[in-house]
Amino acid sequence: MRRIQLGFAIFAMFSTIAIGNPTVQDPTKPLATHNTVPGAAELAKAVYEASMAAEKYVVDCEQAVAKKGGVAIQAKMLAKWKATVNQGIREAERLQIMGEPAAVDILLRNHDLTVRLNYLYVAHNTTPAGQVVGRKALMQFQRQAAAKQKECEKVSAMAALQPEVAEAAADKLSMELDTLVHFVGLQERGPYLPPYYAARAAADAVMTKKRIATARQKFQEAIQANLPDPVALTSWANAAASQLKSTGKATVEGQGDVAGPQVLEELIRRWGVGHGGLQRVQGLRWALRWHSTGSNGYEDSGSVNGDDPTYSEAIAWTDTVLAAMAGLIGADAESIQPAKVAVHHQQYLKQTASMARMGDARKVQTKGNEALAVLLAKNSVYETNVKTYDAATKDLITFQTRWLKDAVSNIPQDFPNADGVVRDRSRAIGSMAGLYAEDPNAPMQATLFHPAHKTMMAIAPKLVGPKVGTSDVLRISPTSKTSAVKFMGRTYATVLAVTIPEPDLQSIKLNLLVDESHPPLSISTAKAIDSVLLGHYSAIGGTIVSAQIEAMITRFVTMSDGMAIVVPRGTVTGSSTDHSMLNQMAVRIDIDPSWVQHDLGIYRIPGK
Amino acid sequence: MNPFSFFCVGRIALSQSGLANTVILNTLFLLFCSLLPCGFTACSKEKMDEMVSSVKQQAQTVTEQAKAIAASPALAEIVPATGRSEVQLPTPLSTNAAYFRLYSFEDGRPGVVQFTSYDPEKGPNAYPALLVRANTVATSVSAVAGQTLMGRVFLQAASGSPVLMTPEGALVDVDIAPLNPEIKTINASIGSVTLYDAKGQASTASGIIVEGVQP
Repeated sequence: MRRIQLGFAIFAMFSTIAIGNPTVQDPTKPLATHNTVPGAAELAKAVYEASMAAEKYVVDCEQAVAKKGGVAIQAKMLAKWKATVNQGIREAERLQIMGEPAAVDILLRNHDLTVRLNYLYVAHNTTPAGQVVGRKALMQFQRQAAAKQKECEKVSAMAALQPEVAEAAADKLSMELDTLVHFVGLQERGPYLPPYYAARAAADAVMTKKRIATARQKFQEAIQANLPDPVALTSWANAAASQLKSTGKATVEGQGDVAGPQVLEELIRRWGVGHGGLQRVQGLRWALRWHSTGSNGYEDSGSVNGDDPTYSEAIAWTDTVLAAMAGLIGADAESIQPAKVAVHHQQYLKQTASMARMGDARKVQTKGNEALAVLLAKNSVYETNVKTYDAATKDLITFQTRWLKDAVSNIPQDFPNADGVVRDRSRAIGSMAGLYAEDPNAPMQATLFHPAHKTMMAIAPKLVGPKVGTSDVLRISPTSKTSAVKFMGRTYATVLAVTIPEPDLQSIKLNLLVDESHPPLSISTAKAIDSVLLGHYSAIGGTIVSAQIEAMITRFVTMSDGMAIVVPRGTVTGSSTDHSMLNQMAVRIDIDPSWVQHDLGIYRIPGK
Repeated sequence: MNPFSFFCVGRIALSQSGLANTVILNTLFLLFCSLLPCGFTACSKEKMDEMVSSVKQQAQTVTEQAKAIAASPALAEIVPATGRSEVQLPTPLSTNAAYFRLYSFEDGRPGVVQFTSYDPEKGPNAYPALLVRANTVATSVSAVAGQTLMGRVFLQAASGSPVLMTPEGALVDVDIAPLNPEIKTINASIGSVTLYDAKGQASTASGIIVEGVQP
């Protein structure tokens, strides 16, 4: 608790900062936090603010020194900011244990400041005034040596029983030490340091273990809370199916007794929640990996878990949902009146079409068609209609699909793959900061090598402007103004939703024999109509208008169920690295579309 | 109406009536043979005239019968009517089979007429693959025949070659020939039409003919 209080104390000293992620418009925005371990967000905010204030001091001071030399430096201020930066490093190390990628950014910032402060110390300490400060500091060490020795021993003794108090006291001692020690030469300061280090080590040893235990517990709790339960889903669906079979209705929590299509709607909702949960679990496991790979330097932290259990969990979850879908439709078919077959069938088509859009389309379509065939058999006149409709539309769709395949294979020339463009343009060049290693053969992992704001300042001018193309665009919700583009490597995108003009819409509907009172009668045409009306596109091309960098862990741990459409249902994003994911980044780009490709063609936006 | 389609419809009709003529000639030859013994014996002029008139009558009957046979399904089975299609591109494409389908619905939505160069049961997997598709409110073949519908054209010359099509929303006239009881196919023709591939490259066909077999 004391740690957080100290954080708040630092926080109160400076003006508030905007939390978010570094964007093209505001590259200085700090990395967002996921706050799985309570207190992490406040701590990160406080440390960021302290670090930014320190940077402001360093910049001002560097300018003053450039003009007037070392005499421009006030020893007291220099010491204060040096102590602040070092305290920030300690706090960032604690954030690291809490699985916060912001920690990496803060460490990079403060290590950069450390180097620059060291130059300022050299400039200051070599002036006559600086030498006086040095002599006084050494005298102070000598004068208080005995008292500090006792104080440090007291802290060491407290560490086992009152670790939080000991840590706060050690922090205070460390900051005191920082205000003096850098004015004194390495050899002269040597004898006075061991008691401080001993107190620091004693407090840290206990607190680090404690923090790791707390973090692991919080992460495990969060994983358990988010992990979908296929067994529970199956038993819920089986119960609903048996109700449907006997009465044609089933009880859905909060809705009362509802018909088959409403039960399927509830299943789809649960599918989405589970899928969102799996994405969050993936992020949480990445954060936990830092504790288990040894990359943290703590020897007792366990072994590497090489497998990615979330993959198999995601496959199992979607398989369970699809089996439940077939079960529900089949159960409904058993009790349905022939007169209701058409209405239910058309609702199921709409639903299975949207399911096919979100996940493994082929699997959904196969399973869906099997289940729907049972329902259709209950009304032979309608069944004939559906079969005729399928025969009357399937060749059109086959030709359109082949035409589109040709179209898409021609696109890359003008609209190269977005992930590739982002990679090329955010590569480090020489000393210029970047997210990707300069060596093009290095693994394609966006990594924070430099502070996030410096990285963003370096790459922002290059990221905005190029034309890019990308596939699999889904509207976040039917009313949302944006669509999202699934993750490709470490890039994902948002696109302003495009409205296809009415005449185009009409001719598509005409082709598919669809109007207000005649809905599509097959999954593939229902999917095609959805694609056009709701803005689910198989590909888009456009111009990057904005970008933001964000940590992979934070992106996934804080993934909302709605946003989780950036990962197809039935899968999770792989990490493609065996090491800690704390420093791994994602780039979100915003695309102003020039054209969109729906299931039946390409719509070019006039003037783009 | 495209004059080219007249030519083709005519050609098929000609070949069928040619076959019917052969039947008639064969019948007449047999009748003539049956008259031969009389030639070697002494016959009165009256008798001769009677016989000639009888042969004439019989021949007339046979001609009518042959005509009827030619139009009957039994003969149509003997004559292989597989349909055909032709696309008059700079390098013309043709098939020796074509199909006609009319899909109509119980629920009141418009129906579709489809002429294909491939078996619709198997889908566009035999090449060249041609699909001429037009919406119609007609629910019977006789109601569609003789009409000009607005439709679209899809064409793929070979497996893996680019798909050419008329653009979405740019419908072309599809002339469906009036029903001809002497032929089994339903025939359609399209005048000059521009087809586009996915790169936006245009190909102009000066005419398209499809003579589709009904199921």
